[in-house]
Amino acid sequence: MATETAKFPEIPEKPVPLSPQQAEAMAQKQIKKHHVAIILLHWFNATVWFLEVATGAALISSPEFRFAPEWYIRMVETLFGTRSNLLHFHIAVGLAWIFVFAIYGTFGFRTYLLRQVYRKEIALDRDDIRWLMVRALRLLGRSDEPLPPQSNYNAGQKLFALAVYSLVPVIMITGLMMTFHWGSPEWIRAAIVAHFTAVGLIVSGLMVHVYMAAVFPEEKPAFFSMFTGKVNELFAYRHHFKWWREYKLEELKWRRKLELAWARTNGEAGAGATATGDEMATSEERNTTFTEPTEPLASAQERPAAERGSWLRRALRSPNDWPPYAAGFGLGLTLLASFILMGEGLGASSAFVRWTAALLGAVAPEQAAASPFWGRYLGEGQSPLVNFVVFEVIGVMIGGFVSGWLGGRLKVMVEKGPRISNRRRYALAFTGGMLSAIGARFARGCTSGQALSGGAVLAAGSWIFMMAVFAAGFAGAYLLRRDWT
Amino acid sequence: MNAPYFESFSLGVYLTLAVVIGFFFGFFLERAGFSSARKLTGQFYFRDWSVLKVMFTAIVTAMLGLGYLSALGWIDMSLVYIPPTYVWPQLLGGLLLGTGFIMGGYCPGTSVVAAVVGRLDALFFLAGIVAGGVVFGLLYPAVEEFYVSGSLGTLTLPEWLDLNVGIVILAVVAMAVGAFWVAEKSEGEWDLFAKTYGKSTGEGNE
Repeated sequence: MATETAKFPEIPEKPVPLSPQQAEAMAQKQIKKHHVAIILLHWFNATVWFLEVATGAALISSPEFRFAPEWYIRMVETLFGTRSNLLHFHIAVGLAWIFVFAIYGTFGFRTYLLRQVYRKEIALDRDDIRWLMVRALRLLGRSDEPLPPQSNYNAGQKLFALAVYSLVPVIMITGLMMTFHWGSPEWIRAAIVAHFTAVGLIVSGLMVHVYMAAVFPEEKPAFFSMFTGKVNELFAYRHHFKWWREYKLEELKWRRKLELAWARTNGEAGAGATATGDEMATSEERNTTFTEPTEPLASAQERPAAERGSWLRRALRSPNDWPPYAAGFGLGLTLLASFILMGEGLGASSAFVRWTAALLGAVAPEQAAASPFWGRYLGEGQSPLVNFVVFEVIGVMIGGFVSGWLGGRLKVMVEKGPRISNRRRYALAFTGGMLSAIGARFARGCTSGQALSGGAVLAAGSWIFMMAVFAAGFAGAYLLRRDWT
Repeated sequence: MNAPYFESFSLGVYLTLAVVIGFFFGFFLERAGFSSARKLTGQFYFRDWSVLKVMFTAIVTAMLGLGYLSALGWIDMSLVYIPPTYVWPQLLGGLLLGTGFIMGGYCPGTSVVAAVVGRLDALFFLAGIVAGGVVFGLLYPAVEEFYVSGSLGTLTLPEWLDLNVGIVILAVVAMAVGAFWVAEKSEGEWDLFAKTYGKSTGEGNE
């Protein structure tokens, strides 16, 4: 910190009184405080809290805990028709809330929750403790000492956040226990009490939070920043001095780097004078940071189609594979849609059996109908081709082709390891196809029908099948290593 | 009305929806890179774990969706097809399909996608599937007894293990996350491919 003060003397280390002109200029300037994602998450959270508290209050059945007036409970019940609808709604919203925050917690744990939220936003430091004492004394009219400088969130907000972060998991877990009847009746009874208590504690804090944001005049800019993401600089300076200082230091460092880069591209030897002791430190970064922006600018016109347009267009036109988790999520939604609409999962191998059955039924109808295997498909009273999987595989062909076409991946070629001939590859592919068809018949489905679809409905046999596929694959891979590596 | 909806569709709507669902199935398979036999077999050489990642992400997504909807009573799981369990034929079938997968480089669904984007080897795999189906049909009278052995009916993991559905779902999610972790480590710092097959990941992949 001390070295930064020496390097950037124009940024004070402690709040100093501002001249009216300075204050006016700062009041006009907006600086970014919240990311769009945070704003969306905040309002999602606010909506969920509103709905859950409103429905939850009407759901409490125990007379000791029931605090909502009779007319309110009747009103909410009328609104939802029945009490069971009301409960379903409460559970649905709660599960959606848990789902969204589980995603946020899983993927953002290290970056956001640990680094950003825990270390920077809610960990209390010495200034915060003093701030709480001074704030309390000032509220009581016992002190007019100025409040110590605060960072992004003031100590009051931090205390509330700490309470929320520790109580929200309690609400989520007890809610799940009540919904799915996890544990013995005693545990569930305890969960009900814990659910209610944790909500009560947060709601009492929420009242202060809402009052501060929506009513308290001094905090108005903070309220609006939850829509625009921005606050004016004067507000930041007065209420969150430490955060303002960090922001200004970043801004100034960036400006100096830019000046330095500008000077260098113009070949002015004397330009280094604008940078004080910083030049040595930035000379390494310059090569990486400042050569990059010029290149995409210069070649913007010639970029291939796959790199232009919206993210969706880029993703569709990309010649590269999608990240497996993204493709898997899409596949999972497709599978889910199949279950919801058709009542069964995806399949592939049975389509070939049905095509073959139809063909044999046309060529040798009597023998085919008499076969215990083919006869089953021919004896359905209609063509074996009138079937979900048969038509679904037609869709697979179209979808695969469209994807390959959009990504520019259509190419007639042979896929093989680097050391084998085409003929060996063809022979292996044919044998492999035969083995997998026979395997799929024994298992009553292949990777799609058994592993993927049966796996998702937790069929025991599908998981046995899946483990066997992986086991044979890994073992066979070693034996066939000359063919693929 | 609650899901599933297939009983309310006319035949035309039903078959059209089948094509639409298949379209997305094929599309996402191709986008995942599963039209490439080298990418698919990369899984079994610890080189590219996409097969596991895509499959488990899809299973977890659909499983959570179904669990969520059935917990809310919006889907009637008794109308959803659950493949019946035949322990021994499914074990053997899995071993055969796994062997066919590593020999041929595809599984039946992915070979369709590979063939439509122009992979000639996938056409041979498809021919093999048809031939294998005929062979099975001819052998069927001989293997019929084995084909129905180990029958446990429609058995789900929660029923089999006598556990709450929620717990099993949680366990599957935990297992998937563990598998993703192993996959990332294996592709990254462990570099299992190099350790097992003595090559760096880039080699032999051209």
